[in-house]
Amino acid sequence: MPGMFSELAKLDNWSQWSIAPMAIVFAGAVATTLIAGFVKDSTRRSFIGQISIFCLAIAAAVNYVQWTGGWQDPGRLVWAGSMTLDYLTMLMNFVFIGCAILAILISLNTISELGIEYGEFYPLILFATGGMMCMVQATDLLMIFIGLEVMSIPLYIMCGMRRSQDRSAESSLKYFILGALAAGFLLYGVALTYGATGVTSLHGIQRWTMENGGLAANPLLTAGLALILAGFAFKIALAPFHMWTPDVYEGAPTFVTAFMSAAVKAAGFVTLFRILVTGFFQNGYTASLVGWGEIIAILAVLTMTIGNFSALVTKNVKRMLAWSSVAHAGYAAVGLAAAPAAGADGVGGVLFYVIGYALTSFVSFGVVAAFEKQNGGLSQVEDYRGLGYSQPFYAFAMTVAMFALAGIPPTVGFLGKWYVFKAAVEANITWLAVIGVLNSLVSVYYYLRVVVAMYLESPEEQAEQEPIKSSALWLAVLISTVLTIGVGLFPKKPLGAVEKSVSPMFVKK
Amino acid sequence: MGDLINQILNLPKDLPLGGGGSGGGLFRIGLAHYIALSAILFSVGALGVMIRRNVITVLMSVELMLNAVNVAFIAFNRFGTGIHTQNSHGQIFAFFVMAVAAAEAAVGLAIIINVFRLRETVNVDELDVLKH
Repeated sequence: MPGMFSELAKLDNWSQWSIAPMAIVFAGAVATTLIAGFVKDSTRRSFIGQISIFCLAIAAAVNYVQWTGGWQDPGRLVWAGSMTLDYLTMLMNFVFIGCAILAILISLNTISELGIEYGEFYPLILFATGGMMCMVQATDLLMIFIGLEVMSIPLYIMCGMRRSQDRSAESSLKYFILGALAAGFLLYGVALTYGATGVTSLHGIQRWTMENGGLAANPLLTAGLALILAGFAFKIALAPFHMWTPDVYEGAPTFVTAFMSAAVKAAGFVTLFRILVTGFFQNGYTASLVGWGEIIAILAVLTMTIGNFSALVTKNVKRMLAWSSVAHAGYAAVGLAAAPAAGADGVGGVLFYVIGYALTSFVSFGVVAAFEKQNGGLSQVEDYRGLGYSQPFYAFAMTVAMFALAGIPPTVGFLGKWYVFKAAVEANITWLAVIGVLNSLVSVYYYLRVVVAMYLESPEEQAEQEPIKSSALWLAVLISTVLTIGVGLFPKKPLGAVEKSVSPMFVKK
Repeated sequence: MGDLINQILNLPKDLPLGGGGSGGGLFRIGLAHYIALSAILFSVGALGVMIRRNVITVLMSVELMLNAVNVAFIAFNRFGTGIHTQNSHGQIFAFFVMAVAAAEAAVGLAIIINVFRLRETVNVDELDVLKH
């Protein structure tokens, strides 16, 4: 043991400082777990939610200090080479903290209607957030795996938080089984990669690959990469590994669905491209017979098409949004498929797309949560008739979300699609961009159907609708709606941040 | 058989094979045998997840997959060539896999118990309210 402590003593201050935001989130998770055990009065449990938001705000502040220059040496490996703190990590920390705060805001007003006033919800969402932060910060497959599991296990529980409801319990069971299967595939891929290269760090894998003649020279490494890809395809719902998505998203409490479709998807995509670009990207090498770009292009086509055509025939709004989430994973994967040729433009497109999608999905699922709260489980498209007049604010937010999801300017959804399709054209896979645009056209139909129902159709019985009273939910929808339009109108700063995050990955060393 | 698997896996013929002994060929237990065992265990586990209907059996199959991963890690660490022998990443990874498998099993069993309380079945074919 003395050996271990002397190793730890050698860690410089930079190493410890580098994981400060993640450490604060985990500390908050442990603290709220303890506090939740002592708050017996269920009406006072929202207090724990406020503490969680406070912890997340502190983590965001520390992250801001690091972003603006507190961290002098971005991209340096820390913690014995298993972590890094680059601009990508810091940007994603902002995204995850923001997603967690929005999800908690939505939950504060709706959690009691769902009958899940357990104080445990807030620590769980903090643990999941910390896991995501660990996952994107890691540069070693071991740390990536641990982060992935720390993210996933709380999510299995959160999906099943409505214990007394069949749908919620089933949703968590399905997510658990398929998540565990995905973890198995991912791990076997890591084991084969380790067998081929002898290391688990991404930089070590890249060094080995470049010294030993590329992927194709080694079937073991190729099989490892394929299994890692399959594992992540499960997590980010790329076809043909998407089957769980509609069931899980529909059955989970709506604020958990919003958190999953925003933050988990972003974390999965960012980690996947960090693995592919840092570990398996061969600068200037074309030794590989089938590059991962081609495989992801095929998955992207399948995912977009299956997602959009399934959403077309779905009447239930929450399930329709779940299928649309599958389709959006496909659009983001277009940028990933372009990354080997288009470089930073492709990966930057993916990053901008998933951040934009995270904002939009908080608008759409936030509005679904608000209508559910009002009408106790209103879900079909027909139930949205006339809401444009009885609930003007939420109907407007839903319209913005639908426009953004369909990719209509001036929303962030349009810009995201623009950048990923532009990257595909730059990478000479124009056919993929064409399929993507055709898919977007198909999707306009089912998004606008909701808008038409809200504004142009009148409900059969004219029930007097009270305005929805819930300040935190209103705030969450307002923030995400303003950002959805705002980033679409003034994209310069966010794009600068995205560019700053991804361009160092493509510097030839 | 060992040589055949070595050929398939494209591993060098002169791998330091364990077991010592004077036996040859098939009975000289080495990396190839362990990797074959691990691949078989993993396939059995993956098939079990896909075709078995009882959720408890599915959970056991998942554990089988994770343990196949452990066998592969330890075998690569013990018998691998090159850099494998200079580090113990594989063995450390196996410890983490065990810890995570335990956490997953705990949460998974809790979820299964909850589903059983509500539906009085653990057959995945009968758990289909979300399809309707």
